[in-house]
Amino acid sequence: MQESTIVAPTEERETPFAVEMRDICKAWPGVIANDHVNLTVRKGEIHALVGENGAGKTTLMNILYGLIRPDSGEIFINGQQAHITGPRDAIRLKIGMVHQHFMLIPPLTVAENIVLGHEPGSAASIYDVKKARASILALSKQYGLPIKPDDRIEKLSVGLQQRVEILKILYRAADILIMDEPTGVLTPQETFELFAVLRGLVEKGKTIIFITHKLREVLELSDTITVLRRGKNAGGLVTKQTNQAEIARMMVGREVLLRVNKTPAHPGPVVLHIEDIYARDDRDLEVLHGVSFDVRAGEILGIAGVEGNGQSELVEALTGMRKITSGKITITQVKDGQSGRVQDITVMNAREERLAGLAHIPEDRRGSGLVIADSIEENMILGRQRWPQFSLVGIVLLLRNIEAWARKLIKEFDVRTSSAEAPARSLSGGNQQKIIIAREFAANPLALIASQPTRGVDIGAIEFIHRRIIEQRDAGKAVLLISAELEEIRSLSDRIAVMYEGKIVDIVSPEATEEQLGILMTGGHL
Amino acid sequence: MAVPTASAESNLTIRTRKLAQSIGRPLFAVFLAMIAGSIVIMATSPGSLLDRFNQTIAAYQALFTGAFGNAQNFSFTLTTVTPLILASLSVAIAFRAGLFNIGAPGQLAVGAMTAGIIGFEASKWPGWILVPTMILGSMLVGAIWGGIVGLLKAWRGAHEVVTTIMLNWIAFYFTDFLITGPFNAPHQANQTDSLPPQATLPHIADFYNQTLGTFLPRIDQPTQYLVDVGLFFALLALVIYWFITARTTFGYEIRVIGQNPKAAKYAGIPIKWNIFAVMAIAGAFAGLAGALRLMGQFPYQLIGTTFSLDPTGFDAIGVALLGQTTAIGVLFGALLFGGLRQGGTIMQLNANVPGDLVYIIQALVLFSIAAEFLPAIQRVWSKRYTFQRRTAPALASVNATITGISENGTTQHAQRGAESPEILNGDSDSEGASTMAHPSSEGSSSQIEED
Repeated sequence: MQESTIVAPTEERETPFAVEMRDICKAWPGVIANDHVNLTVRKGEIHALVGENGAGKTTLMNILYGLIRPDSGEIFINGQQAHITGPRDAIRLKIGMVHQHFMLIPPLTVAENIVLGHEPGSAASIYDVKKARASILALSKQYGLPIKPDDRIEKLSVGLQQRVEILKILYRAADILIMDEPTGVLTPQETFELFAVLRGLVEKGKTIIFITHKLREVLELSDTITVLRRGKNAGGLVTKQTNQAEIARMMVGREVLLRVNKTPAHPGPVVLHIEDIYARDDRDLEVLHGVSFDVRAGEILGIAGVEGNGQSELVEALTGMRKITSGKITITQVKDGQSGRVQDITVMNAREERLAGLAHIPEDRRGSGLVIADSIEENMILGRQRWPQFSLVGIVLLLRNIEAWARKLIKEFDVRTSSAEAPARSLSGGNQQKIIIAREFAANPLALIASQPTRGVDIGAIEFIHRRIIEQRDAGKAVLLISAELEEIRSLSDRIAVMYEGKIVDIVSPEATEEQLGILMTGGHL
Repeated sequence: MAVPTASAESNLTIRTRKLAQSIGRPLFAVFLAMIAGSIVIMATSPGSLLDRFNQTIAAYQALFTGAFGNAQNFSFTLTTVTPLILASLSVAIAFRAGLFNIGAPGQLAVGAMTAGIIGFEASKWPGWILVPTMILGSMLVGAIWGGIVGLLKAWRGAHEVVTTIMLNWIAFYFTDFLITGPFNAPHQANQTDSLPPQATLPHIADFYNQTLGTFLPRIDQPTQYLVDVGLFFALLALVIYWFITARTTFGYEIRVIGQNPKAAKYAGIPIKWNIFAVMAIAGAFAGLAGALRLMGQFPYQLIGTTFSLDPTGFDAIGVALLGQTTAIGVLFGALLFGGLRQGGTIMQLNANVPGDLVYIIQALVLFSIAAEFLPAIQRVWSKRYTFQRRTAPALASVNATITGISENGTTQHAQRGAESPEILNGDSDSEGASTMAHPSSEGSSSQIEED
């Protein structure tokens, strides 16, 4: 199972590692978050822990910080075996963690937040404000992190709040700092400042573990790298001896478990036409900077890219779930290989787009694709509940038709369930995904947008889903496939569009090597 | 594979399990509340332990007899049940969309006021025009009162709990103003005139005697049975509610909004419009409750400050919760709460136990439902259960176990279900929370919270 372990065996090392995690395993019901993961971090270095969303990075660090108990595995801190049963133990071992979402209390002041839980005080345990201020100012001076102790947290910028988090850890005298995706919320300027701070801390002898999936930051900041993929070690690297493409490949590559059998595509006329679209993300920052491409009938266009480069927002923009600031999207009917009626779906909502012939497999199956407490039947009509076959004039549900429809799809798409009335949550991830696939494919769409269609499902279901997607292509649908799995993109797509920082940087044939894709995915040129 | 022959049978088991779940939880809550109530009685009554025990039995007996013991008492209970059903439907339909309608008292007040105003202003109209106008008018104004909340929620993001509470007070004081001001009866303090006779609803017993009773056996002394024909409106409303929630796309869509707003967005459901519509319907139900009470029961007039003291709109929250927002559940919940209220008076008279005990029982029922005692117990139970199960396989075989679950998940569930349906419920709940598709940070953090 394991592909590569890292660094030298422990017996041969000279100085003990600051952190050594051996064979860490953690399974949730239905998913393995960490599968025999090893991690070694030398004292005084910045170690980047890299991987896609869901690769198990945060779980591993939560284990180190004592928030999660591992099922098995050992942890050594400075060469001593450590039994970490909770954050209290971790703090005693001088481990500190800055969470992705800050753990600060907005109405309290900087000083109050920093000393929280360890307030300096007299014997009567009265909070000594002056002492707290003094020690924070000293700390702030020592590490070069200017801060005003009396400001309220809610008045501070995100970057300063993060600084408070770091000071909080330093106040507890941590030597090992875990930073969980610290740049996710920062502006470029704040990121730049953060990096300077982190370098300064390392110079003062601290050890830093840095979780991220942004490769540029990895190369810029870290000394060594551990790559996780699907809960396993994918490799250990020394930053100076590697490049973006290699890391990208390690992150997204998947063992080739199955070859997809498919015949060459016979692309017809353009069905889905996307012209120069711009859109903003939830934080109101522009994430799509003029995306244009066409998807033809009978072809699969894959979108490759490191996650977080605008793929999710692109899908939302296409499916009526996100307003676009400018641009145009059209969908064209195809009859006998000829273009038919053209519909402008730019400003349509999700319901209207479905009527226009768009099907959508969402990336977040439990989050938006299903109503988990409802029955399979009810989930089989989600988004199409007002269609004439399911409701009388769109008002009264035709329960018999719905039941028959659900039974038919359950059989056709091999959803493993005891009953169509069972709640969706009683099914495994793969079978839940099959409900969505069945619902979206069976509606006979013109174009199909499949976003992370096989994420988190077992191998059997992956193969099944891949086969179905190719069937849709062969039936003359235009298929847009978005996946973080490079291998999936390469084996299914007839053309690959590479997305980087909200733009399509190039469209290549599936014969492109991983190397070439890796370069494009990280902003390079061929 | 879905085996067609087996699926009919397992549909039945799933339905039975759903039924057991939906009945079990409220029954348990009521049971727990009764036990706690009996402890209160035993602790506060004098005498030996046996005396105290007898006292408790006597109290509950009186409570039951007072509520349902004979036709007169039951009929009196039903006069409370009628508005309670309607107000509860108001709360329940909002719950379906994930909205907490605290505004039933206010919507009820404006409904009653509207019916009253129409009744006084159009007192010359014949009954067959006047009564429907009053009913429809009250529903319309109730719908507007509720709709305001929906509008504010959908388009301005104002929290419905805040706006409904505010609107309650506006409704209370505004109706007070109308009752003591423009519509105050001459030479009377703080009340309006009585409604004209043709604007009132007949009692069911009278109504029966005048219609079917002309050729069927008549009811003797019909005036002792107080319930009015408003009850039929309430029962009709229950059927309409059932139809809306179980048989229409609207009911389906508001349920999706209530359970998973992101899925609603994904499905292209017009969320804002639906929130407005559901609050308007909620308001209409409550408005009707107010009108029926005014038109159906003595004193057939509006009295100042009654609305802010009337517990119906607040009891409705408990009934909707107890009835788990189903039509049948609301019916039984309303019978229970209505019965408690009427029976409490009798209990105080006959068993000499303070009627306030009823409030203790009501509060404990709600507490038990809100705190989800039963699911919590199940969860603890199932955790122990799964813990024992999980320690057995060595970690190396976790991989195999997981594939096993995904392939045989349903059969395992079926087996567990056979052992104990409650365990399955709690278990699959906790699984649902922790599986979370991938070991993402959300998945793991939710696990932390659970632990």
